[in-house]
Amino acid sequence: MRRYLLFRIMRVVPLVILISILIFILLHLAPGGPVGIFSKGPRMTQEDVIRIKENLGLNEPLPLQYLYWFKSTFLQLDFGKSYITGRPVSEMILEHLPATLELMGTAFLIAIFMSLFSGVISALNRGRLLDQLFSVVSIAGMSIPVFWFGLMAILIFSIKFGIFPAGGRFCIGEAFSLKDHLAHLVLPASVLALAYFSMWSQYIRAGLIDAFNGNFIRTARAKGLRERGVIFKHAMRNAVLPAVAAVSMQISTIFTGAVITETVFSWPGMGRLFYDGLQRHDYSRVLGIVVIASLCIIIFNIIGDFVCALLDPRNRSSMTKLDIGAGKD
Amino acid sequence: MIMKKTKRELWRIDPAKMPVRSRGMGVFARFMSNRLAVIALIYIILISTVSIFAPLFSTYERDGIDLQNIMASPSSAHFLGTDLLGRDTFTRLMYGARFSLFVALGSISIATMIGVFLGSLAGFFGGLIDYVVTAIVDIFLSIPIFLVLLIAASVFGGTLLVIPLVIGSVSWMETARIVRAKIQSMRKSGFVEASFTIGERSWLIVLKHVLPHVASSIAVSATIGFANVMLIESALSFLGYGIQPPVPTWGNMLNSALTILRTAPMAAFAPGLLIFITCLCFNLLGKGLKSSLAYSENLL
Repeated sequence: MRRYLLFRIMRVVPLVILISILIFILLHLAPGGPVGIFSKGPRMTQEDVIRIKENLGLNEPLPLQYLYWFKSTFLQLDFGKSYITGRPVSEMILEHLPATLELMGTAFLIAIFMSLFSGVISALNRGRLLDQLFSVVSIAGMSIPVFWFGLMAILIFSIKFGIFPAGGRFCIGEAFSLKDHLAHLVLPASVLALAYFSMWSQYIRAGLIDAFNGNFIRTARAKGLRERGVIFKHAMRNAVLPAVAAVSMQISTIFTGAVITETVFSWPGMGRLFYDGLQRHDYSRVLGIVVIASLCIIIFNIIGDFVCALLDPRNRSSMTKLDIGAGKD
Repeated sequence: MIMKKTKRELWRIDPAKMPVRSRGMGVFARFMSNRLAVIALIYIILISTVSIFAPLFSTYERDGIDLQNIMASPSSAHFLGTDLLGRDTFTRLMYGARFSLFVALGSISIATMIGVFLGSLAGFFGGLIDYVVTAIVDIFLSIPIFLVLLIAASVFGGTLLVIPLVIGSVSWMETARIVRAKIQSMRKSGFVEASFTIGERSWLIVLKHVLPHVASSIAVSATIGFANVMLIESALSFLGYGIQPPVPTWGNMLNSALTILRTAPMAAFAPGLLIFITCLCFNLLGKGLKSSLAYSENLL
């Protein structure tokens, strides 16, 4: 197990290097390059631009620039200062991280609970009304544009009935209260949870149906285990596995939902910070967030693989992403 | 002992006794029995037709402004009301269908081409090539794609040429995975070996003999992928980085309706609903295709 983990972490190194090159290229593709935003200022003279370039080390050859940039960005997690606010980007990210974690964590919990619940019900009632109902909900959830769903939720619950606030994380100027906090969380978290739920419930269902066909389930039933034990101890263990694998493959879509939801509900998280930065051409901030998000995805992926290996020792070989679920399509 | 013969055994023993029905007919019959998928297909045909012949269905111009009726609610003159500038929502929805569908079609075509190319390379040749392709897929799965898409769209600008290219070049991984898995399992089969022995070149084998077997899986993944890229495009446009107005797409119509959400909710409701229904239909069609094709594959 330890060897597998070591191997898995070793594989991250080339990945991080390749991703960093990609982001570095992106930085230089931006209009005007890294100093683009400065050179647009009306009072900016040519000499000023040259001076800034020298200060930022942009006169060095590109490979050297890349090395410096890589060292500070990936090894020290220092993304430089924001072009707009002048504050260190890592500080701004740290400030907005808790909000994102709060929203995504809540949505995660709701979605996991709901997909386990609906997955078990669907697999047990395969082909019957409940199963079809859940599958309709899941396909609909996959097809619904998250932002539109969020808007309609605001339109109905905030504007029409006034039950929940339309955006933000808490009422500004009021003392902290849990009730106020939760009221703000309900709409964005449910919208995001539906997006996750629709992806995951199908995997759980398919995994459970697969497991129920296995001989080990028949054995478990034959030796007189209670049905609850059969489902949750024996079948679930095997059903969760492909689900975890599939989810870790789509981990970056999880961020997509978060960015959109945060924008719609003006949730002061990383997604909002990113969108704001993009609109103001604050490239150091934008790329800092991309780097952080990439690192998060890589860590999630390792955790996902680790869980797979823990649940099923057969996965402790050098399986790659492309092999997961091979032959199931 | 007389055993009941399954369809498969019948086929092996005497093909002539099989009911006269080609594989295609079987798939077709099975597909037609899936009511939801048929409805979805009819809807897709309908909406494509409407989008192509949009000028015939509307008395208004695409960008025509009706100053007397700005932000109007639905009426007999403006079936779905008007937007912030007094443009007819219904007309713009029909024209918007053109661009939304076109962008999605372009994106998914590009994604499918990349996916099939890399997937078949990796699956057929294996070894080092497989390793490289896997590494590329790993990269694309480890970057926050939507964020990078937003950056790319803001750098290159939201034109009808750029957006499909950008979306397509980050949406091919699922297709590549499916194609690779299918081809890997086919790599060792008799007909591939036979083609090798008669001296056929490998890329010709892939093109002529292997890929046709994968075509149905590719079609399914492209259909479901169509819904996904459409959602991505609409999300981009909604955030203001997709196709730029005055060219209407359902996503950017929603974006411009944001500011008048309270006064003219219809302008925001209608385009979103259309995106929803269209994506739903593509998903249902993909699911229907998948089950009818899977059934016939098992039969063979």
